[in-house]
Amino acid sequence: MRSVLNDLTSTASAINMTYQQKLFSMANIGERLVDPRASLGYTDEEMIYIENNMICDLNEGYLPYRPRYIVPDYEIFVKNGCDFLDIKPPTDIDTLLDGLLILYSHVPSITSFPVYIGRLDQLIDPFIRDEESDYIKIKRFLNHIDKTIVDSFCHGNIGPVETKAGHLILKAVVELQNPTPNLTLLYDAQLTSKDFALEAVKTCLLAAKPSFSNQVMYQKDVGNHGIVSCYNALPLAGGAYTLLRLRLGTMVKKATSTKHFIDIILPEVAQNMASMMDKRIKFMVEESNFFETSFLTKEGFINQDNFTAMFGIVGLADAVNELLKLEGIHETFGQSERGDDIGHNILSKLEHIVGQHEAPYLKRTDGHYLLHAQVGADLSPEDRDNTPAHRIKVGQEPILPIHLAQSASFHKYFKSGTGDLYAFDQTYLDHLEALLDIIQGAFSEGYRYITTYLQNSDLIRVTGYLVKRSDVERFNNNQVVLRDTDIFGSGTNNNANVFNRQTRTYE
Amino acid sequence: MNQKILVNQIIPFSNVDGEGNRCSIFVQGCQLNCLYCHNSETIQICRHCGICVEHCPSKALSIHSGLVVYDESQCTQCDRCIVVCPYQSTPKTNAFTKDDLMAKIVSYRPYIRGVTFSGGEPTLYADFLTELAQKIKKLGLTVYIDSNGFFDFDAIFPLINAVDGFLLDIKAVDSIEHLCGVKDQTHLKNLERLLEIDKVIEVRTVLLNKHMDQINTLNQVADRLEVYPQVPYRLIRAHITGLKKEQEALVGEAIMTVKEFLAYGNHLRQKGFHNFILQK
Ligand code: SF4
Ligand code: SF4
Repeated sequence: MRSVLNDLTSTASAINMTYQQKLFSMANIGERLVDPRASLGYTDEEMIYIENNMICDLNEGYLPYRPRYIVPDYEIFVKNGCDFLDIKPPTDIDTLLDGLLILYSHVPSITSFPVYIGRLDQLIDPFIRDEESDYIKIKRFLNHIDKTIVDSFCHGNIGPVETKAGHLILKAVVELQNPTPNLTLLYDAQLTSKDFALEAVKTCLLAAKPSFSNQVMYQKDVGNHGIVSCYNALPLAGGAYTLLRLRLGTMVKKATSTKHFIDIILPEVAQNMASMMDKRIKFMVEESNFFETSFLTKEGFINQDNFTAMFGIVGLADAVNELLKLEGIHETFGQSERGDDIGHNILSKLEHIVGQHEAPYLKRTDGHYLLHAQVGADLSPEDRDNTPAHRIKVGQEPILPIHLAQSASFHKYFKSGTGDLYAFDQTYLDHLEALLDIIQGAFSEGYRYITTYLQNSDLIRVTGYLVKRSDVERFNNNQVVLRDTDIFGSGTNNNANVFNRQTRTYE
Repeated sequence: MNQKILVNQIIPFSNVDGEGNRCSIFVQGCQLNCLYCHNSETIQICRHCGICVEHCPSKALSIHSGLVVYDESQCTQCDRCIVVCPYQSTPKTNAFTKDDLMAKIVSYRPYIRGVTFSGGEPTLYADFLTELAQKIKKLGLTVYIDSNGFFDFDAIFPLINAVDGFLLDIKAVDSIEHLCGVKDQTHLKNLERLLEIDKVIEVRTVLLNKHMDQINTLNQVADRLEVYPQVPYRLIRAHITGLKKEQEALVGEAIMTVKEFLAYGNHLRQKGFHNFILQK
């Protein structure tokens, strides 16, 4: 969406933003002052879809001068150090952690904060000498990240193999209770030991992370990858140029029948979104000089050939609910067989459309965009009608086994990421194996990503990232908070009621 | 064969009825009547007297051809019906065939390790459950029976043979008649025989004061378990929540404090028995 000059004035004098939030926000407003028809060659038709909210460009701006998500291969630093920053290869844990912190501050993204900080346990483990003192260093390192990378989309990975460093990271995560960095265990039943998996389950209940990703499935679909931002699976040493999303819940308002929606509206809007994405990528590669100027490219942390782009959707539940109404069926998505059918028809059609579209500079994914189940970190009122991704609306969820099976069937479409989250009650802390059974079961049924937390904890997962309940309350009372994601959290909760997600209690 | 079984409740995912995540199926009906039974509405089969029907505030109950019919979709789980039932029963049961139950279990299969039959007393339905257990085992799942220990071992041997093991209650020994209304000590004999053929998953005793011979019960179980290190002994402190008013009047004052309860753990330790779990 384009901005107006007035946005700058109101941001400058906002009462609930830090200096840094104002700085980044004003930069973003600046990027949206230009007319994309002039800067990117958007057509009038494309503009209409942004203005009527059917397509959301997540305020990426109209002079895209860096990729949205960057997934550096930090092993390059361990091997070579960094020439541009004049740092030698690390020789011990101190020079490693220090060097990584320096590097992070030079990794751009759409929010200007790094969304991927590496496979932390693999990076750190070779440097572990004395567990006791190294633990203190790891904990300090993680805490440093929380206070300086003030954006919970920042994501670290651990696993699949159990390491000493992996255990120390989990221990620190529980002690710190910080929202950042987000953390994912790359889970592979063949490679991840049961002890490590159980430790991760326990940590997840106590600190709302790590989440669990289906390493085997992603490795097959994306190759070497990192889990970044919310739960996006993106090529390692690459990333995603851009992410736009279709608001299915908004598009459906124009539909006169299910057929009309799937055969007419969906292809029409999807094609416009694809062509906008093409134009953004072209600008980035051909005009912004990002890949020519960044030391990340020159020194091999990233390679332009490894970049792809994400074709997102939100509001599947809302679209399906509306179409069920049009069909005269009094059921809701999540508890309706016909609803599931409509959902699959929408997504297979979209998969087909996206599979047909030839996009520029997308070598790694054969010229095709990857579907992404976006979770709507947006303050826009329009998102009230667009439930995150393919999730069931809060309050319309079926019992857990049915919920899992329903959701599992939709994961296959979203190669660049989808995930579900479930709140569990306290009793599971004494029965970690039971929770691991559920996670393993979900993966065997085609889940890509699953995460859990205790309903009553202060750290809560909003859609894919973590916020402190208490911080969101503070922001809602017009007080300044540290993280931009706390502000998103406030918007998402007001729109989607996620803090009241159904808890799984079984006696 | 379209034989059906009365089921009080199915909990798709339970983490307390054996290792890992399990589906728990609670059958209706039990031949004992223990003072502290926390789900005493599972004891009797409904007599269709109709008393509960008029007490339901949500029109979830009705009478059709002399039978009380329960409509789950209208029920708010207020449990008024259970409170007013004079016969330790509930109208909220469903009759299922083996195929009905298998369909549910198949849909839960990816997420569970097995199925636990609880109750009520599952061994009352040994024939039905034997065949069902065989089908469940074919899915690669384990089957446990949660039993009060009072059954005719030889008569239900096919069931014993078909399942992986028992979660066995030893509620009391000398005071079992006062506590549960049975005269004999079949449960101890059954424990011995099940142990011999490696069919015990765990033994459980609910502890409360006054109404039972706590130390004697603990000793009797621990002595028998000594040579079976793979079988843990779970001690559970009786709680007041979940008791009906009449029960509360009867056993309320016999509920142990946590401190009293933990002392029984010490007793076992002093005896040299360590393979127990304390559930406060
Ligand atoms: S619990 Fe019993 S009384 Fe209450 S609504 Fe359900 S059927 Fe009716
Ligand atoms: S549940 Fe109890 S009160 Fe209701 S009909 Fe059956 S026996 Fe009578």
